[in-house]
Amino acid sequence: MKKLHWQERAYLYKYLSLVTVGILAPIIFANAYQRHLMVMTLIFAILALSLDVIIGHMGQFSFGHQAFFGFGAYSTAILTVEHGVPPWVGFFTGIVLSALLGLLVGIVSLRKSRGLYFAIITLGFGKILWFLATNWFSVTGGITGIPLIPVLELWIPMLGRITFDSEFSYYYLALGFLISAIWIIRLWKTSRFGDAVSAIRENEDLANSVGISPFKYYLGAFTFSCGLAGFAGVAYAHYMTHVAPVSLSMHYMFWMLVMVIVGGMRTYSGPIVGSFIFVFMPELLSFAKELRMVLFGLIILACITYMRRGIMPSLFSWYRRIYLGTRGSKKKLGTLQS
Amino acid sequence: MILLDARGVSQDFGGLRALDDVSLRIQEGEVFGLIGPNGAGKTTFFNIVTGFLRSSDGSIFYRDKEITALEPFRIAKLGLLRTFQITSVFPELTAEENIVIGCHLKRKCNLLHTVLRTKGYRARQQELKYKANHVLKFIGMEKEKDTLACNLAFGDQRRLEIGIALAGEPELLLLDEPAAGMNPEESLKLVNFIQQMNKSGITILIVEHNMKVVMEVCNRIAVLNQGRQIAEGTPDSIAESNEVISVYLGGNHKYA
Repeated sequence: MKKLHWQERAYLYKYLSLVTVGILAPIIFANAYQRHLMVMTLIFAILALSLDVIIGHMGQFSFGHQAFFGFGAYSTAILTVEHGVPPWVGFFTGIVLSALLGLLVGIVSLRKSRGLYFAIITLGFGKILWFLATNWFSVTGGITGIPLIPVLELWIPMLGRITFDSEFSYYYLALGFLISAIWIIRLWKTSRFGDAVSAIRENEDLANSVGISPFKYYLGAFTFSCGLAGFAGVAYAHYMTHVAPVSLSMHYMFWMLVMVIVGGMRTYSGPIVGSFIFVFMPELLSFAKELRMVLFGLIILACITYMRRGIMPSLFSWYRRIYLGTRGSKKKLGTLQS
Repeated sequence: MILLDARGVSQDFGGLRALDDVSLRIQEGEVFGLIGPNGAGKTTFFNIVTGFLRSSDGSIFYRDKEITALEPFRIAKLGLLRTFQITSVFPELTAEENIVIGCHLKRKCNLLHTVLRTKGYRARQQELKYKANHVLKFIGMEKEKDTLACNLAFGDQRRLEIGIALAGEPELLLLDEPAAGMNPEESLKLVNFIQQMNKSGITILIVEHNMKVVMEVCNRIAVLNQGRQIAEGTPDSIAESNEVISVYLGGNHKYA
């Protein structure tokens, strides 16, 4: 076996430990509520990773990302509950519909708008969907949402037919979802599509002048990101077996931003850690009673102040400085992996 | 063979006529210089040719194909690449990654290859690295390949920018003030560099203030003043032209 570069080795360790922790976690924590929180962590990790495509890789701000999450969830709910479509068909249709909706929003907004203008367009769009979900009663069930979404079933060799109706079984399904989401993002990121998006983020005019169409590649990335958000949405719907307009609310949007930025942009582990903090921190701080959200806010403030680039990138550069004796700034920090 | 043919290009910015009926023809294989005092409209002309600005009037042909008002990336695909007056690189990427992005046009792989990571795909990735290395060697920056572009010295950034354009294998390269801010030694290197690129078959259109560089490398020169084209010819004839001298040194402002 060829000797791995220290960076590759570090990556390998990081992945292996994460996967091991991921597999063992629900066995160690047998409490149903803890398992529930772990499933939520995995689902929100997919969502945060999808937002990272926009924030980290495109360098744009979307304030309507929760809409694609909710749209995916509602799509599969409406299809499976109202129209009796098989769960897996609803599942994948939901992903595709979210991506298509992203494509549509992207065509309208990405041609010229960047930065805050783009953020405002997505914000307005998110509001429209939220309004539809709460008020279009005959389709969305209004404020009560849609209950009784069928659970997913899968036939697995050796194990037979498995119904994902418990926290324990759904945990492993969600883990599989998360790993496949990371795999897909990695494929995209290391391809010329990912490179092109990095180029546009760094210098749009220069990218344009070397033959990269900013509109085309940003549209592709945005659609991709919305499809992933829809992926998290359908996973959420079939886990909760109930969707309500809350899944489309700004509440999630802001938490997603925190997950990505506190966790660390343009990393895989950052949004996952961010999602973990979002789900578990209020529980871990429950000793503080009423003050727990204040404490939570202070912790986030401290993270942002002392770990400027996010928790994971900062930890990684500390590790590098301590164990390898190199200065973070001197090392290769480029974002492409070609 | 005429590579670039600009016919009667004019540009108005509100009430200001930045370019007034400029016509240029650039032959394949030459180094063409575009000079003139500040505000003469040189960069405006560049931006129109490369699609960053839409001209008010006139048309531009590249190899007999009209490219007026095409988007920049489409013009780049035809083999017409540029550099910018203000140094323009991808700051948070390494020098090598900068060049790899420059190769974008020549990377042929579709979504399926990317997903399946076929043998051909990996071979092409290898080829890409090799090519990026080749370009880095050409611009003399092999040692700095892992340095972030924003940490490079100014002169290196300028060279890297040209490297990015070269990686796209241009037929016509437009250089916008490549010698700006360079010391005499660096500009001498630049002259060599431009001649080398020209020898390898790249036609060059260059906007430059540094007369020494222009006189040294250009086969033909056009002079702009206040948006108007006042002279065109060989470096020697331009150097002797009374009009040009009066524009540069003052004299009676006949064209002002």
